[in-house]
Amino acid sequence: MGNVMKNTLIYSAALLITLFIYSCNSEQQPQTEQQSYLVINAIVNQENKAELSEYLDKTLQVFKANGGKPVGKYKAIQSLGGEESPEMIAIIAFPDDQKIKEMMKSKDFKNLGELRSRVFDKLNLVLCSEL
Amino acid sequence: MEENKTFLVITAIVNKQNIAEVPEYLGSVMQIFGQNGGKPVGRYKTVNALVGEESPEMMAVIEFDNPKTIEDMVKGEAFNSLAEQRARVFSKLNMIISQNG
Repeated sequence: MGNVMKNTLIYSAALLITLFIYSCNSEQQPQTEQQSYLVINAIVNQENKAELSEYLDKTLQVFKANGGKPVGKYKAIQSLGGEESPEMIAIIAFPDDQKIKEMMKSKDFKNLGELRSRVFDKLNLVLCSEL
Repeated sequence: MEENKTFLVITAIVNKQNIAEVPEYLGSVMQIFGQNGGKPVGRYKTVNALVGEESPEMMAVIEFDNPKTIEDMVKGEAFNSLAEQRARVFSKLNMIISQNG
């Protein structure tokens, strides 16, 4: 009877350890999943520069509401070559391509269209995957 | 508070005629970045251009210690020795020294 108890305890412990390892791996899984990225390159319209921060705040809200997570936001300090170098670059990760496409068709995103065209002289929005 | 880091942001449109040379160029240039302390942050390829004309097809972000390191690297022999291939491989190339914005 003592041996049966001992074996039961060992099996239970082994099961708990297995479940613990499995749950840890399950939590890590989303980080290794393929994500979709919205890459934004822009040249600011200097005449309407004052409206830029308002636009960025509102857009970021729309991104976040659609599952977007900022990966990086960069401002140019020097162009080393090339024409029409972007002055601002932003990378936002989304769960998948479809989320990005749906967001761009949404009312919230389209409502910012007028402000967007005032704020930027040139704007590229590109759906990307990791290379 | 996060310190102001320096990044080299590269956006490019590939010259389709010489697309076969892209992997060789990327391999060589990434080696030079590494030798100059560059740490890759991300590399992306375009799946779909959603807004704008002449959208980049490839984009890379590499972190460096400071802007001077990037300037010196770009003036360096190793980087310049790739100039011919670079001109063949890309029909449009922008290299931008950036900081967190």
